[in-house]
Amino acid sequence: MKLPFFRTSVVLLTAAFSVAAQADVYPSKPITVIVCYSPGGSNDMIARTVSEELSKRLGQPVMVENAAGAAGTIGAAKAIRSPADGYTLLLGSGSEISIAKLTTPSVKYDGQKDLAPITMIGTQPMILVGAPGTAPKNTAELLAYAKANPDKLSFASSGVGTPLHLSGELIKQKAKISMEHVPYKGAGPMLTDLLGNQIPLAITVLSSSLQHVKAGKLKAYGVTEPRRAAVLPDVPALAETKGLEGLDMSIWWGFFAPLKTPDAIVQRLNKELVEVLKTPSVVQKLTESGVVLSVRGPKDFAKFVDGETSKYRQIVQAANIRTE
Amino acid sequence: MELLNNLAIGFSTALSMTNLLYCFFGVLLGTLIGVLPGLGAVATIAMLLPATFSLPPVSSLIMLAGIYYGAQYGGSTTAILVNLPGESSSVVTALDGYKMACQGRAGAALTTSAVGSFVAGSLATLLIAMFATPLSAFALAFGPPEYFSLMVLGLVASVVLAHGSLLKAICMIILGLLLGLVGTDVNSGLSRFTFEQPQIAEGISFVAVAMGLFGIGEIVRNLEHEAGGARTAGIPRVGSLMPTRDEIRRIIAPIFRGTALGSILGILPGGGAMLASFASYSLEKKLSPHPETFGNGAIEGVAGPESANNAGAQTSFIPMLTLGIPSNAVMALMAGAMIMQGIQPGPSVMVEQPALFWGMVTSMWIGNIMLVILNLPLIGIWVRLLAVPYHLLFPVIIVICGIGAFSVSNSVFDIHLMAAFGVLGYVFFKLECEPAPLLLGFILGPMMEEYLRRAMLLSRGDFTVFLTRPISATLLALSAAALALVVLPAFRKTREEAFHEED
Repeated sequence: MKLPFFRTSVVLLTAAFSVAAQADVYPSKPITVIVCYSPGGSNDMIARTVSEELSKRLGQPVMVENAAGAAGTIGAAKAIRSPADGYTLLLGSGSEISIAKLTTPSVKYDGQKDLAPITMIGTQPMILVGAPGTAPKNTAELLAYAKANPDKLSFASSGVGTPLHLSGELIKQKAKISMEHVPYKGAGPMLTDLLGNQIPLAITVLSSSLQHVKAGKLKAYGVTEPRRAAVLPDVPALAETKGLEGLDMSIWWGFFAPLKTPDAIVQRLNKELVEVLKTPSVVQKLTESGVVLSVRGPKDFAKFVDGETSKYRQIVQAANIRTE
Repeated sequence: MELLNNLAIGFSTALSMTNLLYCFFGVLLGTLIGVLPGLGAVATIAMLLPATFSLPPVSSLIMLAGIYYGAQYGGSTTAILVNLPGESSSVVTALDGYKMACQGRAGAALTTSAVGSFVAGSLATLLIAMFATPLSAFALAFGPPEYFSLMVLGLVASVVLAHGSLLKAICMIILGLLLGLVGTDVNSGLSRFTFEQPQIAEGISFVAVAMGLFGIGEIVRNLEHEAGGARTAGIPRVGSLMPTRDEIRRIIAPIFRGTALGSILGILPGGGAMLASFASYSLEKKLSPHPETFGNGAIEGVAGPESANNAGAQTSFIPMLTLGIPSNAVMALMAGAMIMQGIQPGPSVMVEQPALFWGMVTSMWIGNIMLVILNLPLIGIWVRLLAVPYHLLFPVIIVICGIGAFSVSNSVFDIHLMAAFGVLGYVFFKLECEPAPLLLGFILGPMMEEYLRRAMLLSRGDFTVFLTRPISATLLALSAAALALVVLPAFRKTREEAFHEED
């Protein structure tokens, strides 16, 4: 009769010890990754692809939480407010980390100062595309046309204050041309109007118009990164055209943690994430959806974010972009 | 020949055991959520989206599509039996379907709706297979001015169709428009009517409004009756499933007209199934030799809209599958599911992934057969679901509504919003104001504004663009004609009589 009781106590004691022991080792409970946009978008896809593999490496579930709304700022603010214990991470991108603060006075946080960068994942170029009926054949002709016909051209983007809009403004500023900005709600309606010749130009994320460019249904003027995209080697970089030298804009993604997260945890996560981003299946999935891997550790990533933010600041100030 | 080849590829994919199972699961779930008021296809698909991540792409798309068109069937069941449209597109079905049920013809109405949906579903599937490519080119002829004019027509049609007071209908549309304007203005990026609440910075959740007004509002209304002890069983007897010979004769033409109308409207972004059912109802009423029977249990008023909404639901896949352009919220989620699987929706899907494209198209036809089986012989089970005592059912519905409202953007605020709209829905009921025009104004209002301003930006402020483009001009002329009809004293009188008898 005594034996079962003894056994139970031993089991309970062992259990108690192992819990105590686990509490010291990170991670001892599930980790949440906040995504600032709805399920189905590229941020969500990246977070889910990486989390699955990260979870295997850390031995704890890594769950994706979509906190969408207010152009991504709700999710970012939520991550900043979360306890800095390494159990809440943020998959951030340029919009909510760098641009929001510059264009929107009501955004209270500062993506540069209130978050600890962990690992940068990569970038995706944007592309300037033309409707089938848009006459100029290449970027040089397009710029000449715009100069000869001021206020004739319009360009579509997926909203005010998006990296796409900022790229358009930068093209205008560098080439000293004028084009009307026509904002859309997302890439879908924008491509409909473009394919139907309703609007002459659009700036899209490369992956949204890739199929149409490959199928020859859209004119591709150039990508916004200084080097050509591997998936479209025949399409020049906009920076190759006279007047647009040095043009360098991209969408980028990376993991962040709340500011005061212990350095040891940040380093550990970075180490694991770097490994995750070498896993063939992850690399394949990300590459297929248009992400160009560009892995950087915490220090490099912070420097990158600083550089991007000051670039955006110039564009926003020169074009006087303001949202609320 | 090529068509046969394509269909062969499709059937060999769709008929695999796994895909048949997912198809069945999809339509079963779709019927279930369609039957349960307050939980729509959008919320369900959004909830299931993360779960499809680990399924093969074809299976997950087949299942998600099944939920969508399955919900169209299920939604009409509750619309007919208890006057509770489970889906927004079955709002119209409730008008005459419920009246038929009250007259003891529920079985005939259910059969009409299922057969109409099946015929429409099969024809629309065939249509997708045959005309996917050319039809997507037609949708491209629609630019911002055309969309704007189409929506004007949609709103005018909804006024003409509204119950009771014309003034109240217009007021509800305007209220809907105003609610729709809450959030960030696309053109300037400035926020409107948000009172600095970040939760509504991107607008009021459509799901919260729809669930609140229709789902919660309905529950409050039913409970009032129960508390007063006056609530009857509520569910009329189904009666014979066979329509009479006369009824069969009367439904054939409306089914085919509804299919045609629904197929066209389904391709156009924005309208989809709901606009299709509204349009078909007014068309049938116009063509009927006995328009006064509409709203009073006219079987044509069930056959037309039910075929139209199912055809619309199916053809709305065309722009998404062929161009990668989602035409409504459900299609946006489907596109999201494809992207999550690493497939970029677009023109190349048909070429590079024929098994996926044709497998999905043929699965819709198989799914439609399953739905007829699920909905007709098994109607008893669904009815029994409704016969569950209300005091047991309504907490479940409220919880499901809560989960649905929450899951769209993981926001507790949306649950509060839904509760508030539930109260509003009850107040509207007391004031005899129809919530359907409000919902239409809510959806179409902001879209109209967006297209109007985009058209203006592109034309550099030239208003004549709406009249110089032929499609736009035609649509505006139709709207003007419809409006004139309502204002004409003769028509106004018949309209008031028709709706009066209904009450």
